[in-house]
Amino acid sequence: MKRSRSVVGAAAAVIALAVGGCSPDEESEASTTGTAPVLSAHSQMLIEDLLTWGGSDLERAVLADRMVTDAEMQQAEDAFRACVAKAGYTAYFELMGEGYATGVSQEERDQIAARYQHDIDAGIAFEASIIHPCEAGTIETIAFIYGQLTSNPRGLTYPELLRECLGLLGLEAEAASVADEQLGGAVSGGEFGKEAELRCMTGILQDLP
Amino acid sequence: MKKLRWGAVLAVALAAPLAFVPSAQAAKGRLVVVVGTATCQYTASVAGGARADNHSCARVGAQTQYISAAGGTGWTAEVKHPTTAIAPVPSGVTYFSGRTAGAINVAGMMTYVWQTL
Repeated sequence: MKRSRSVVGAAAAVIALAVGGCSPDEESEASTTGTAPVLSAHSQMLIEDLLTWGGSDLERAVLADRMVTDAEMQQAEDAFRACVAKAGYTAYFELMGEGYATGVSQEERDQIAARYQHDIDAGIAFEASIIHPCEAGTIETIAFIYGQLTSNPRGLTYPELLRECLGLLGLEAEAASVADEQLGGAVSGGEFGKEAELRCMTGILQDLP
Repeated sequence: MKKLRWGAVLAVALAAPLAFVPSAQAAKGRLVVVVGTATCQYTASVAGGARADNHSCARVGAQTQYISAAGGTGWTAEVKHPTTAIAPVPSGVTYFSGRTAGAINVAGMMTYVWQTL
């Protein structure tokens, strides 16, 4: 994989928490065992909806086989960057597990912020007016599918990933009493303790005993 | 490509009303996003940044806006994630608030509804 998904641009200072990383290095496991990544039910729904209702030529071509390769992800990113460049700006794009971060470059954002010093909402809206139209039809769905396939190759649901993570911390029994739809809030709310909150929501379990 | 107009999107906040808060405080609440006849929910909070925890949306988003120690305003990149999106506060910030979003997949189009906390 040629892109970094572990480093977040310091200028953007943003992170996304990939619960998919809760289990020990799933991506490496998939690549070393030759296990093909599996689309989650959610990803399947996204693809079928998009193909049913339209999507850009790029999205339809990439998602026709219900998979996204590294090269196809790069193609989508290039299209996004080209679109932003056409508007006169430099795109910021960072894959983060099953998600991503976008914007213009930090330097350009600072310039926009200076221009909208007294109306921050207008400044944010201005940047969004550049970025959002370029996301649509390029990275918006493709990046999510790619992120799922690479960071959650078993296609597990969010509750499944959380339960697996809590199980590694010995909290399986406690987790069993919490309904799926309440589990994320319970973990992020600290109901399973600080360690579970940090490790299960940040996907840092590699150093667990 | 089909494109929904933002003006057609209605987002309402349930639970505690959310306000532009100083960094010493935290605001959170369960937000309901409505796009046409579709609805979804996520929990938003501001504590060290903007955070959106998904309950039933297709995706969630987070962005932090701030005032630096030098007095300038700024904001982070938008973070979008299926389950938990966090945009932390950069260092040297004296005041911040968050924006979060829930996305509904309507007719193959991911529609994010952003709300300021």
